[in-house]
Amino acid sequence: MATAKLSRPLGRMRRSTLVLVSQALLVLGTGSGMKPALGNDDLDISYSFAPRYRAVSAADRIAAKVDSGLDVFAAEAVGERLAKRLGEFGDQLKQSPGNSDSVAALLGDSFAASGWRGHEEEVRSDSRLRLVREVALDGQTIGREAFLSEFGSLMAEYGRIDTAEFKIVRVEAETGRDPARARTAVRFDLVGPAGEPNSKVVQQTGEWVLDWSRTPGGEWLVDHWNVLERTRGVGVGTLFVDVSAQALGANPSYASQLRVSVDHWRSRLDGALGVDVYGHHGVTAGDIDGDGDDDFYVSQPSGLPNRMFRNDGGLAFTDITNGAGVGVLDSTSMALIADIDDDSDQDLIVVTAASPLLFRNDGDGGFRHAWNAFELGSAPQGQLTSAALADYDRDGDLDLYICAYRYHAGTGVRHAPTPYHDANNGPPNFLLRNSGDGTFEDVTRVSGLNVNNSRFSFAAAWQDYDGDSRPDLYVANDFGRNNLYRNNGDGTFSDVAPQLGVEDVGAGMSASWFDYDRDGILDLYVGNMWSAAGLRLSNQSAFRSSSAESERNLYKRHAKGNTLFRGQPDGTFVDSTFEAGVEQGRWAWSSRNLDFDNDGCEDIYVANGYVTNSQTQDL
Amino acid sequence: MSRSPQGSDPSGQYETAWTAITELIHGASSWSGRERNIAYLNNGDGTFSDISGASGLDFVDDSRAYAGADFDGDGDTDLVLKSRNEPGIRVLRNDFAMSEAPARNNAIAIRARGSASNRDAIGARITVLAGGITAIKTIGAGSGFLSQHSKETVFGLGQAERVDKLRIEWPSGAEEVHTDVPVNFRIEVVEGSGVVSSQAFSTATRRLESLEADQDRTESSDPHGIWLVEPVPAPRWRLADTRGVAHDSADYRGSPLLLNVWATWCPPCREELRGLREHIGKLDQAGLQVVAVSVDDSDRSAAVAQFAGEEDLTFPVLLADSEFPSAYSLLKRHLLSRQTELRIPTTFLVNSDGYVEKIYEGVVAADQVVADTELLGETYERRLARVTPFDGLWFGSRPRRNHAELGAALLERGLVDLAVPYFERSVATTPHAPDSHYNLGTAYLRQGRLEEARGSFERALQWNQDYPEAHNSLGVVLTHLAGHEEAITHFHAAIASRGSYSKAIGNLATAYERAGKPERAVRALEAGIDANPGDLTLWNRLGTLHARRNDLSAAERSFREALRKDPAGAEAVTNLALLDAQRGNIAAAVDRLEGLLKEQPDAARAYFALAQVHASVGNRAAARDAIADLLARYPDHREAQRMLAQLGGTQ
Repeated sequence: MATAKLSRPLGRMRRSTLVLVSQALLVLGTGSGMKPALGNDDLDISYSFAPRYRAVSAADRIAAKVDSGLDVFAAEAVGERLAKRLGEFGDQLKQSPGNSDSVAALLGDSFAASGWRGHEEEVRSDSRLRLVREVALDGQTIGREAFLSEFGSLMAEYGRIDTAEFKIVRVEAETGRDPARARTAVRFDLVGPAGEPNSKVVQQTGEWVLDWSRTPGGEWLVDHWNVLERTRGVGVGTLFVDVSAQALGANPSYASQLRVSVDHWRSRLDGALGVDVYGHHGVTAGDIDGDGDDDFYVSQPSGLPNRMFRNDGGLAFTDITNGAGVGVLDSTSMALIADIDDDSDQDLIVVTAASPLLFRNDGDGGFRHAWNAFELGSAPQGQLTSAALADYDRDGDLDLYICAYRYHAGTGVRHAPTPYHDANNGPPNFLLRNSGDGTFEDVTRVSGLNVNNSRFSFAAAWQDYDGDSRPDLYVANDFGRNNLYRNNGDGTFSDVAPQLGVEDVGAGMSASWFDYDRDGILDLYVGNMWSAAGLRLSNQSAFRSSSAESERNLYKRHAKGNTLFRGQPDGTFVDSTFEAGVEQGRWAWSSRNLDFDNDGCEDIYVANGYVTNSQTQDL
Repeated sequence: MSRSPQGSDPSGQYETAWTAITELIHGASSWSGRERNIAYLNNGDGTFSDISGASGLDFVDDSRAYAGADFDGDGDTDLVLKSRNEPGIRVLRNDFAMSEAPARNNAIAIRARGSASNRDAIGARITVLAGGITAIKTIGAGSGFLSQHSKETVFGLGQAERVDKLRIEWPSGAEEVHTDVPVNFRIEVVEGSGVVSSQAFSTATRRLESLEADQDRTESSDPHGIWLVEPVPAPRWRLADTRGVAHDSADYRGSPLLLNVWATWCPPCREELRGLREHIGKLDQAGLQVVAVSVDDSDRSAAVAQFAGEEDLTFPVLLADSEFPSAYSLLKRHLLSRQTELRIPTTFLVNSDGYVEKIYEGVVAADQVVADTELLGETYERRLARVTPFDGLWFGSRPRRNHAELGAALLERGLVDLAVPYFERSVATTPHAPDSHYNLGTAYLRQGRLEEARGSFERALQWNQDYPEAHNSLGVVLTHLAGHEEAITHFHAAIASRGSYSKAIGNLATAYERAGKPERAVRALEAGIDANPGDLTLWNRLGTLHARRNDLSAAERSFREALRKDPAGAEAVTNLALLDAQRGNIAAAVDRLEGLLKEQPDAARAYFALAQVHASVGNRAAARDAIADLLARYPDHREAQRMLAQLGGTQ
């Protein structure tokens, strides 16, 4: 007998197959500077008790299974053990960076290290930031004492260590039930203020390869400590300053609504109101009042009003939501600010999870909801996510593309992405053509955008990538292939992603176009998932050992991180991710360019992290 | 479910796993949590450096989106960052680009306005030549994830002191070139009119301090009370009080009820009960009944009675049975999006129809309850307004409760009778949703209410004929109610809807077999196998069918095929062992099963098989041992308990 189907929306899920087979610790150390609101709203005045359930739930069964080492990934159990050990090491470094006992305690009797003595290559040096790449000398092996001295001078850079993260990205262990030797690749990140009292921040990142062996007493020690790569950055002062309190603090809504975590509301409000765990609510900049500076609009979960802030200059903002009439309570994914109805002021499109809404700027500080602005061929069948505007038909007004992510419950379509690595059971996205007066008609079908339109779409970015003056469209999809729809110039599009090599099979969640190498050709940066656990597992031979090699590679691709495609003069693209070194965006969301320092080169900022909760151990 | 493009999940495990993981995330689990935002600095040579820590942008906020704009007009890009965790919003001022002169980088900020083109010039391509470098940027609206950045374009110029050329290719196709562009200015360019205004970058003194935010939050007087948008039926209870008198929740209908959950070992709970006792007159006057249910262990009932006596509690103090804590914990879990177990004290305010309208976590004051009682039974609109914490406007459909969710949770935990009212409620609120009827039918079936189950599945099919689970379940019901022929029709329909539906294929075979058509049963399984050659369940079923028909060599072929496809398959090994036994080779069967259990001690069915094999030759002691081994691993295994009892053993 089939069990009852849960018709709760699943939100954004991935990596299920991996989770089924193994528990993986992703982050070992944690920064002391970290103060996330963990949604840890358990009331301290209450007591827990454990009900004895008559039957075990599927979730309990999965939770029980995610202890590693119970399954075929024997190395993962070792990896977890070593991760724990490195986590302790990180905690010791944070307590006392100068104490060499903590690192000495990691070393085995016949210890050696390599790659520690190199020469420095200066990448950049100015009054705000000094950046140095260590280039290791080949093959130089040093012993225990020399290593301790090298490690000590590395630590001497810091007055304190706030972040000590070690992510094991690969683990190999001896075969057999109880391996005694293992090798790990470890991504490290050590951040803290410099020694003397000044405002410098020191950051060292890179990758180590550690060879371990287990003593008869069961303790794992490092026999060989090899530096693969190391970069040191010293920033002077804070390069970006959090001015939220001055900028927004005068508005009561800042403390009561904007600062507040999603989990706070999830613990305080009836779940039926619809505050979702995933927090997929964006932010939009635009010059709402036409005074020449940018204001912004914040999208919020169901039951909490979106908020609009007017820029009063000098980085001070005033909440004008209620006066402007834009406090939408429906769960909102994102908003767009642009002149939609050709009257020279900025209108507001609010993409709720269920449908788009148009608010016309009445030119007088207010917005009016325009009923029936959008004529959809059929009601959205799934949760709407990102949207983007462009004049695809070059008639002088802005048209709208909207992504949809997962079929709503009750539509009779399987919720879970199927197959996981190439899911093709997502709801259709929309192309809506502006009739010129701010009303939109659904042209998804006639434009040919109904092709390959059954994905779990998270993001869209318009761009005339081929220089024919017609906006083309890239769509980033979770659990599979992305689309690049080339504008044919006759109101139709063709998906050319496979031909141009930009399908980027993976967990797509962000797309942006910019010229990172200043060759005058636009490049494409796609947000994906970089998962240390996924890399570890999918590189082990037991992983989906019954699957075809090509399918296994697709799974591997799912953990490999963000992708940078370099545009070529012939209109094709080359994957330059690893050469550029921009893959490790973690569980990436918005991943886009901006020029941090006005040096004329596009930099990248990646917003990331999935769900941080009170349990520190990660699924 | 039927439209799954690839029926690659015959067992439904994948879907179940998704659902389970979702449940874990809604609880207290983390998933890729505590990750730091990443800042990559372009080294200018095609490579980037991770400067997340050095930049101060490495927040661990579960960030989602950000908007870049020069909010303070000083010529560089600031950020508004939106995150899942607290703080949900950060305003980040760029102090990186604004290093002190002479190292300060120059820039130019351009706002383009379309004339023939769309007003926002979205799609325009701007090229700047300065200091021997050509840079291009385009104007867009919507990129990254859930983000829109400024449509003002800031070009960093490095140390270049003049712009040699500014070219704008407008979306209309027009193109214009400017050479008279001042550096460190914000300029506005109108299509066809050139530069219409310019303004020097702001150099207003920057406040460098970052200030800790004022954390004041307007807390309501009732911080731990949660009103429900839509009341839910309070799970039914029948419990004895400290004197052994039985109470039934049904008897408390007609007036509002304050249902308190407590335990003697919980000091605030005791305090709370004293408080309620003290104000019982007030509560009485408000028409409130009070019932306190202790969740103490059953051997503590004397302590409960003693406390009730000492404190002279005049309201009923009931002793929880095994069901009550489970039911109310699931209720609490599924009423909030953050699904955590019930903690005590928790108190439920139940209206006179037996629906929970409010939950209090922690100690509740009598005055609060009295005030809240006034608000019971209001309209949906008023409740929604009360629950929504801030003013705003709804545009789409209003939030409603999915009652089936709680029903499914109760059902999953074996609380079938308690689950039914939620599915009934779900059918009442969404009568056209096939899933509602299907869920209710499933619950009825588990209760053994076959006629009602039949009706529900038929209604599910009325709203969606292409619903394989409903066909299959209806088939199961009909085998009991109407005979096999009708059932067979529905199993066929289920398989026609989803060819990979193992359970339906198996059921079809069983129905044929019971209808006295074993050849049809074999053909049904063989057809299923043809369509799903990788489905081991079907190979095992086919083998079992052959074995029952005494075609032992055909049976062995099927089991061996299953084993060939999955050499570690416990099911096939177990079946081969039973086949050994059927052939009289008890020693081989025992060997095979013991070998299997050494490798896979979790293979529950192998213990039963082992017991069965031993019992078949009268070795009850060995049979009991096998079941005892199973119970050592799964102490609550009911079937094992029953079998042990049959074998004359005790636990």
